[in-house]
Amino acid sequence: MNRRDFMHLGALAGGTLVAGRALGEGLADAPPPDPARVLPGTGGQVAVHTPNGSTLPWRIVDGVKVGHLVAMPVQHTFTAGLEAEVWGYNGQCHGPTIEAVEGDRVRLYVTNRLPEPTTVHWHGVILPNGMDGVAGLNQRAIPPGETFCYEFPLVKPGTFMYHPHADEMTQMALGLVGMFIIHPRRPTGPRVQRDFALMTHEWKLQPGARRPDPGAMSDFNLLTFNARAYPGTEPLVVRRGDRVRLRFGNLSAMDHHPIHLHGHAFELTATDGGDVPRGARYPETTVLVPVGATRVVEFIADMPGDWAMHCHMTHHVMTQMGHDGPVLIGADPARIDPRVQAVVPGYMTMGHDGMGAMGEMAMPFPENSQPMRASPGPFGPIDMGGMFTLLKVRDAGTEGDAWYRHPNGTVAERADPARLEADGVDPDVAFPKA
Amino acid sequence: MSTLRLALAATLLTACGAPSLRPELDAVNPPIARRGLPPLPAAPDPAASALLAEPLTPEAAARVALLRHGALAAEVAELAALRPDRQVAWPDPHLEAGLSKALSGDEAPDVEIAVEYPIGRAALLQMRRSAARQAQAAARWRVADAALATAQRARVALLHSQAAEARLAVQIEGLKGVQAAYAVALELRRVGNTTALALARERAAVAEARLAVAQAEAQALSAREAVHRALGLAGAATTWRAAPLAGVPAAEPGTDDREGQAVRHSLALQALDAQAQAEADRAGAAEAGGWLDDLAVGVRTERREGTWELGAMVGLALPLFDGGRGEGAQAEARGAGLRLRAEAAAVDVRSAFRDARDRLLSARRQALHLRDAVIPAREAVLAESLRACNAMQISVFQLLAAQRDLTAARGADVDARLAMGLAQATLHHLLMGGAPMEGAALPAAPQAPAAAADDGGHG
Ligand SMILES: [Cu+2]
Repeated sequence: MNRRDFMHLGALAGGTLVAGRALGEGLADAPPPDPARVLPGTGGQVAVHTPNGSTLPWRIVDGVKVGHLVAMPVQHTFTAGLEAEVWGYNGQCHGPTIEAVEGDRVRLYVTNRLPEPTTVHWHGVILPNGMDGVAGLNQRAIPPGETFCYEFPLVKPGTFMYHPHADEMTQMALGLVGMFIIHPRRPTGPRVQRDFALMTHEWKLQPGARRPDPGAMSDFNLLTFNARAYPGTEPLVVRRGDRVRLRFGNLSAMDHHPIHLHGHAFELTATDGGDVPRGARYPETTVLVPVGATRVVEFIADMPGDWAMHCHMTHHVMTQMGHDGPVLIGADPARIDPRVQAVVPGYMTMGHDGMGAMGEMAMPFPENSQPMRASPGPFGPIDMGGMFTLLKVRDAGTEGDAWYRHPNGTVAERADPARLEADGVDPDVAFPKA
Repeated sequence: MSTLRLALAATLLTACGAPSLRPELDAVNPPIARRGLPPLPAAPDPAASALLAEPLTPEAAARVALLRHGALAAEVAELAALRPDRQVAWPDPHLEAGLSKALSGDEAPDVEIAVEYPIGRAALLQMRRSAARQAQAAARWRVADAALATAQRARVALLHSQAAEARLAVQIEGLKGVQAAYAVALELRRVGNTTALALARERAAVAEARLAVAQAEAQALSAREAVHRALGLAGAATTWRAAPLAGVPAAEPGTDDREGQAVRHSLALQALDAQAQAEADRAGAAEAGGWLDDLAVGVRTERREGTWELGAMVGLALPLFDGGRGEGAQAEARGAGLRLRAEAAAVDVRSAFRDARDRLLSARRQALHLRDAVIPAREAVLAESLRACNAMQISVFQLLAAQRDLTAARGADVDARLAMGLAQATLHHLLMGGAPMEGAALPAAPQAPAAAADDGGHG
């Protein structure tokens, strides 16, 4: 990469950073079309796009790619109305995606602006033992205020990650993680037109609090793609017919995430261990992304529409859901509310008809919280949050539309009574055990 | 006969009853009026009814008691017995007449007439009246003191009644809270969402809260009856309403040393002084009485064998053995006892003053802390609990537990305001010259608000 390439990348990375921030504030509006940028010298491979994130800029010094990571406290917005004090790199959470090419030599400076020692472990990257970043084992930890230098050649392509290996529980729980993509020098297989990196993560952030609890072990209540909870997640916009690669990484504390994509089937093409042999691939609609692993899937986005993509653990698409209350489904609020309101005016029973309508209720909530809040969709509120995003498969010229425009007659609607009758369907059909 | 007697008695009462107490009232009322209280009336005062028509405050209760209390009126009536002229009167002359005739013979009967007057007792009259006046003054001070005590008992009774009503309201609020939790549990049980155990727990809490309300009701009724006794109320006069228990006064009570004022104003000490003076006067009179008590002069005329004779006599006792010395020594002993009592009473007044002042300062700080810190904090907990409940972060049972904590704080607030009111009334009473009242000013044991100890968890 020459100087011009570097300038180009650096400027673009900065631009992406700003765009990612701005996008995250809003709803799930489709961003303007962003034709995938081709990485020079890689046989036409497109650069990875990190929704809501950015790519680490390189400075080329004597043929070495020089990057700088600053571990530091960061003020972060998970979604509008939900902010937190977290830890990140270079002023953002998670850290910028490191993107390089097989055969590069990288020199990564790590400055520690945290209140405690840290290191960086380059998860899955093949490198000399002394560069592996485990505090105490491979190096001494980087004290606060100091800058350490890691330098190694990138000998093996793949989808990797980076994270601290000092006070791992705390530092990763507070958001200090990032993706590390090494493109092969000579790609094999079909080219992809779009390449996305998504880190899954889990947090415990009490409604009303501003700092995630790094000690949480089981009661996580905030699940994110690239540290954003829906509707704060930037949608993945692709053009119909694109071959799309999704690279998932998971550095959650405790949970594997089965990520499910609607409208398409994909194949698992690689893990952080390497490529899955072509003959071993099989179609799937859900890929389990284990803790401490990456999973790469590819598919052809041939079904136009706005498709949900989310963790299929249902609690992972609820933001700040409480789990300590009694079951209220089936209860009659008329038998409860007057009694409770007599001593606590303003009380209202919720969840008696299910939780779906919870998100639309206008009632006072703890400050800085988005408990089970719904967001507007084209047909009504979308009551999922958390680890949820949208794959927008669009024809040329419609990438900028906020919502997919459905061809006539392709949206489920109230059944026509004549049609019901003709089809012999009786909505009032009785069942013995009802 | 008996009818006649009754009629006569009635006539006498009508004629001499009320007007005859004027000197007593004129003597007793000035010190009472100087202390900001209404003068004791000669007859039941309609002003009391006007006071009773408004929500009753402790100070209004004190006034009503002075205007109405039968026992106080009785003490005034009994004062009339102590008028010096009724205690010590001019001695009456002694007349002696005799007639004697020999059983045989025709001589005219002998006649003997003697008039004797105890001039010694007459000479002692002023000394003895002086002693009686001092005793009367002591009794008047005691009645004035009794009036202050009556007023203070009225204040204390009303404060307890106000607090009892406030506590009852708190208990009812507590009951509503556990009833709400029970209603939730009942409904959840009905639709299969909770266990029999959880429902039983809520039901038990309601049952206990009902008991607490019943106890608070009984205490409120009892406290109301105590007001009737303290104010002398009966019949139609028992329909009064109590004003709400007062809040914290804006001004910090003075911490300056006003023990001296309490001692100077003390009516009980004035009574003891007067009584001691009465005993000194009695001792003096007794000493003089040794010589004078039996001093009498008289004239005597006598016809004996037809001839009138006139003679004079003087008689006196020689104070060799008694000489009134025993009586004098008794009076002196009583006087010495009274002076010691006065010293002890002054110590009591000073200590009671300091105690009331300290309790007022402490109770006021506690009441302020409850008003400005504890209750707002509990209200904030409830408000945030409602938000957290809306966000489904806590259960409605936890929300109701927060409400019960607020109710418990309000119960503690009632106790603190009662303690403050009692200490304030006591301090006022002492500064006005009232006597320390054993136990009267001690706050009642705080009541445990309904279900305050409940952990609020949902089983
Ligand atoms: Cu998940």
